[in-house]
Amino acid sequence: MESFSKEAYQELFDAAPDAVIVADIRGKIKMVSSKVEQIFGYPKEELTGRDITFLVPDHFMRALSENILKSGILFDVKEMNRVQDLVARRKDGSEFPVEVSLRPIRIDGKHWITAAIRDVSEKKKMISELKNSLQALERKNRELEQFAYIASHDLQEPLHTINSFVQLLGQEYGGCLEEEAKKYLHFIEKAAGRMSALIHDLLEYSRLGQKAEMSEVDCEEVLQSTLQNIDSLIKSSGAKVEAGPLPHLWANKTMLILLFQNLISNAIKFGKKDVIPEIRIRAEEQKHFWEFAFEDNGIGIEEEQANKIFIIFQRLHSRAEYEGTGIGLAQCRKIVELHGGRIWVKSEAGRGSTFYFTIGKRHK
Amino acid sequence: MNVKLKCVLLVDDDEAVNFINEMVLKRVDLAERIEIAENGMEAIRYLEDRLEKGAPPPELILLDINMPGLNGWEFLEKYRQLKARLQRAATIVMLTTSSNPDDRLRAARIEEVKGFISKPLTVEKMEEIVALHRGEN
Repeated sequence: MESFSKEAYQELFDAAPDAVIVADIRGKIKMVSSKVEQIFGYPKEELTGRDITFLVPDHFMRALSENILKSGILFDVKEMNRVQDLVARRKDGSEFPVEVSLRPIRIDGKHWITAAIRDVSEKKKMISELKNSLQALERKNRELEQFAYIASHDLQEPLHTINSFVQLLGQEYGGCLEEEAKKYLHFIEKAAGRMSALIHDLLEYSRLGQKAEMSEVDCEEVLQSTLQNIDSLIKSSGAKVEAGPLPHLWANKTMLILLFQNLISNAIKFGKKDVIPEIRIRAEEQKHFWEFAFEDNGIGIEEEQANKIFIIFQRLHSRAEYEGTGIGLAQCRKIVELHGGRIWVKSEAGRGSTFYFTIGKRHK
Repeated sequence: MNVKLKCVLLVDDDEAVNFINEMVLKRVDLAERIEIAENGMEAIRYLEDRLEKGAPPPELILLDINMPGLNGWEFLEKYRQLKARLQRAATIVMLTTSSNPDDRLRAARIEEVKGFISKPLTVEKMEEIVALHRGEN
């Protein structure tokens, strides 16, 4: 095969995306690529023969521990080495963060070191911006959870007072009240009761995930515990729950039980009239996660309503038809998301629903 | 008060709220008939039923936003499709607990909505609503 000319090698050298410096094992610069001129601002001639540390700010040199720079990686490179968090200095004195890949080479029996230097200012900036927004987001989230927790806790107090006095009024003065007044009392009592339930659920919801410890969890056990918890519901409805083999997961067991419980009891609650509820559970292994499906033969959900059901306190039916505050599926979504997964539903009105969720194989 | 309305439709899922609204309406003696729908779907069905019977639709609709099933906004979308076939358009006023400015703004952008009143309904607020309705007609 025809070999390249000397000029062609020079061009290849210059074409490298990183600034490339070749130095001897004591760190004396032998040659540099054009990219070095570009990012450091020195003409090639000014660098040749200089010590490679010439391109590192003095204060940074002092800060670098001896064993990394002098005796260690830089001048005694045995193998490919990447040095991060280095700072370099341009001709105009300005400094910028770099990543350096060092590689020992042998040319004509002599040892050399090549250093591929990459300006990582942009990357660093992006990482730090990302970190900042992530921190801000986490802070906001914590604040919000804290807020919901405190608010719901403090709301309970006056509500208890209302409840107590409505009860007292009914007990002690019920006899002298007209029918209309009794009706008013009834409305107050009902509203207070509903508010109490809403606050209770809000509290539970905001608590979810606080101090949630993860461990290896056997989903077969989760299902057994779930079925025990809702034993009376299953017996009274005659529901049949079938499950295929279920995996072990890295998860919070209490939360998983709550997730299973919400999905199964929903399937029963929203069952068709005069039809025995049947729930089939299966788990399918994917590359990075397990996909669970809870399939039922219930009343189903209209397509245009399906996106609403995971929102807190959203209900599709009147309270007279189906009781509840509308917390269950919001809880499910929070649990799944705390495990790094997602939850969705496929359904058709009158033809049952299948709830799907994913949980990572190993999520921390 | 001027001539009574033939029919007012209250759309709200809360029994107590409907009770109060009905009471206020009776107090201002505004309508000959008060109809109650517990959610958007029920309200649409009621309007369709009026259509089928060739009966006039309600002149005034007080509409809650947050309801199970079809909420206030979704009701309005369906109402739009129905409107052309109705004998006359109703004055729709949002009556809601929402103090969210986004909701107010959203309501202001919907042609059919003539007002945005916060719960609970009072005689004074009802008079405001009546003025709105009369202004439209």
